[in-house]
Amino acid sequence: MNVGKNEYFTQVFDAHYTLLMRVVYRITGREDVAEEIVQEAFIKYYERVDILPRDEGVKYWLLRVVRNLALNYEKRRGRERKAVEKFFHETRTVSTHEGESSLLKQVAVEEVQAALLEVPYNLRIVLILKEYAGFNYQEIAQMLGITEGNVKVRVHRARTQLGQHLNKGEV
Amino acid sequence: MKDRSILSALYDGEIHPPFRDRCQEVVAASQQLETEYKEIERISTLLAHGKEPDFEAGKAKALHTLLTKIEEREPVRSKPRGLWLSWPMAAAAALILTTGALTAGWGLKSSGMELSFNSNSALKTQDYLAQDPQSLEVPEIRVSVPRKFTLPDNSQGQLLLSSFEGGQ
Repeated sequence: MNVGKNEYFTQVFDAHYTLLMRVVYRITGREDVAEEIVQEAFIKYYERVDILPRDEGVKYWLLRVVRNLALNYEKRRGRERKAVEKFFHETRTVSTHEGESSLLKQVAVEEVQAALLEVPYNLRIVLILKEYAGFNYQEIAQMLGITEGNVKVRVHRARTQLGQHLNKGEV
Repeated sequence: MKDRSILSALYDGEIHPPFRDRCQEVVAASQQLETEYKEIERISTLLAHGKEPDFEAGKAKALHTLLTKIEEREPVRSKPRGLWLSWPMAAAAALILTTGALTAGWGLKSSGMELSFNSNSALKTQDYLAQDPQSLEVPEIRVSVPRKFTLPDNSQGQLLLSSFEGGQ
């Protein structure tokens, strides 16, 4: 590895790792997945470190990458969840056991993170960037390619939905 | 207040002074709005106090893993291009070549006797031909000439062409 490049890369890692982990952890709800996604993002960054500008934009670039990777994970998780639900539904239909149906309900909101995961992705990401990454509406809008007005609406909807989930789970 | 998202914006400090004061007055005057504002506050506080792993502690290990992964990876190579990429390029190349060939053919036909030879080259060729023909190794040169092409009334040109023919 190139020493200068490696040194700069380490600095970037040092500066942004925790923020990225926090954001991805809140999106996915799993530390191992967050770790994997963040590592993948940094590898992508390393491959492009010579062509990307070395400024504050790096943070936004990395955040966009982790957001996309997390979204892919989210889609995959959605498909898996559907498959699990289908499996339980079929099992219940065959065995007529009512016990299993409560299993998925138990998995639902028990704590804030769980409730957060119930919020649709496009709302959740905005709220996470606001609450955990500390970005203002303008920065979030720039990062996600939406208007500030849209950010404002999404943040509010995310909070409202989160509140509903929290109340449902009596947190 | 029809647009309730203003409450979130107000809480987040995204509403600027002249309008912010007015918003705060409106919220303070309405029981309903105040309740909603407090709910936003509660949710935000819950989010802030949600448990989170100590990412800072695992940073050094994560960096080590990452650098190992990077070193283990092969250097990035350009991806092999599939048909979806190669056929447009091939089509473009074919088009350019066809256009070029047609233009050149048309140019030769329409230009008639304009084909000329460099006199220096012709002289050199003459010197070359003046040598013992048995010792010469004439390279094989094939020249495509349009069907209607006629040789100019130019001895150097004749000489050159005959040298080409002699080489065949």
